[in-house]
Amino acid sequence: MADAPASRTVLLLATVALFALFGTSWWLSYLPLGRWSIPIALGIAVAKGVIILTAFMRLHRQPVANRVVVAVAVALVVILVGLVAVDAVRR
Amino acid sequence: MSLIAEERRRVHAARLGVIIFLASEGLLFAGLFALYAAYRVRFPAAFAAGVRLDLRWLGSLNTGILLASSACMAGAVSVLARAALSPRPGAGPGVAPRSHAAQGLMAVTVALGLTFLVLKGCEYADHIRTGIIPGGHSAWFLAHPDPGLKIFVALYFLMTALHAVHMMVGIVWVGVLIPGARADARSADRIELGALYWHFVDLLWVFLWPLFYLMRI
Repeated sequence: MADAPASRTVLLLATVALFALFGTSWWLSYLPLGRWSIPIALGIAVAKGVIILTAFMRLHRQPVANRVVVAVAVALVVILVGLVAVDAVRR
Repeated sequence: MSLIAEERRRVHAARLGVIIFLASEGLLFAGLFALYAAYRVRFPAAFAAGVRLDLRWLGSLNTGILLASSACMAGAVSVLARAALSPRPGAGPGVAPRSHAAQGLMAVTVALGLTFLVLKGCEYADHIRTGIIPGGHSAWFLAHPDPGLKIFVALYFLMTALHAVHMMVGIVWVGVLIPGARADARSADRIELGALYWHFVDLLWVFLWPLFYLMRI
C-alpha cells in the first residue's frame, strides 16, 4: 500500500534548505554572538528537524495515531529538557 | 476483510510500531540532552572550552554527510513509491523487477553512513591520543583539572557513541534492504520503515552537532 510518492521538487527544495541552514549554522558559529549563540544554534537545529520530519519522514502524511505518538514524544522531550534547564538556571 | 484492507492494516501497524520505537529512542536521548543542559548551566566556561576541543570542521563535515545520506534515502523511498504506483507497461504478475535507482541511492546512503563512522573514529582516535578520554584518568586532565571538562568529555563520548551505535544499526538495516528493493508496494513500504529510522538518526545528529561543535561561547 505505497502512499503517493514525495514530489522530486519537494525533496530537492528540502535538501537545499537543509544545506542552507547547515551552512548558516556553521558560518554563525564563527561570529561573536555572545549569549545569542546558543538559542540561534538550537533554533536552526529545530528548523532542520522540522524539515526532516515533514519532507523526509512525511509526518503530515502519516495516520493520526502516528502523528499523536510523535507529538507526545516531542512534548515529553521539551518538558523534560525544559524543566531540567529551568531548574538548573534558577538554583 | 478484503486483501487490500488487510494489507493496509498491516502497513499501518508496522509504521506505528516503528514510530513508537523511535519515540522511545527519542526519550532515551532526551534524558541525556537534559543532563547536558543541566551541566552546561552549571559549568558554562568548561563546556564552552570542551566544545572548542572538538574538531569543528570534522563534525561539520559529518553533518553534511548525514544530511546528504538522508536526502538519498528519501529519494530511494520516493523512487520506489513512484514505481509501485505506476508499474511499467507490459509488466505481468509475479515478482516485480529490482529498482536499480533505489538500490543505488540506498547504497550511497550506506556508503555515506560508513564514511561518517570512519570520520567519527578518526576524531575519537585524535582525542584519545591527546588524553581526552571519558573518566578523566589521564595526564591531560591533570593539566586541566576543571570538573566541568570531565563531565563534558564523558557526555561527549556517551552521546556521540550512542548515536554511532544507532548509525551502525541503520547501516545494517538499510544494507539488508538493498537487495529487496523492488518496484512494488510491499517493497516500498518495507524500505520506508528503514528510511524512518535513518532519518531519525540524522535528526539526532542535527541536535548533537551544535551541542558538541558549535556552541563555543
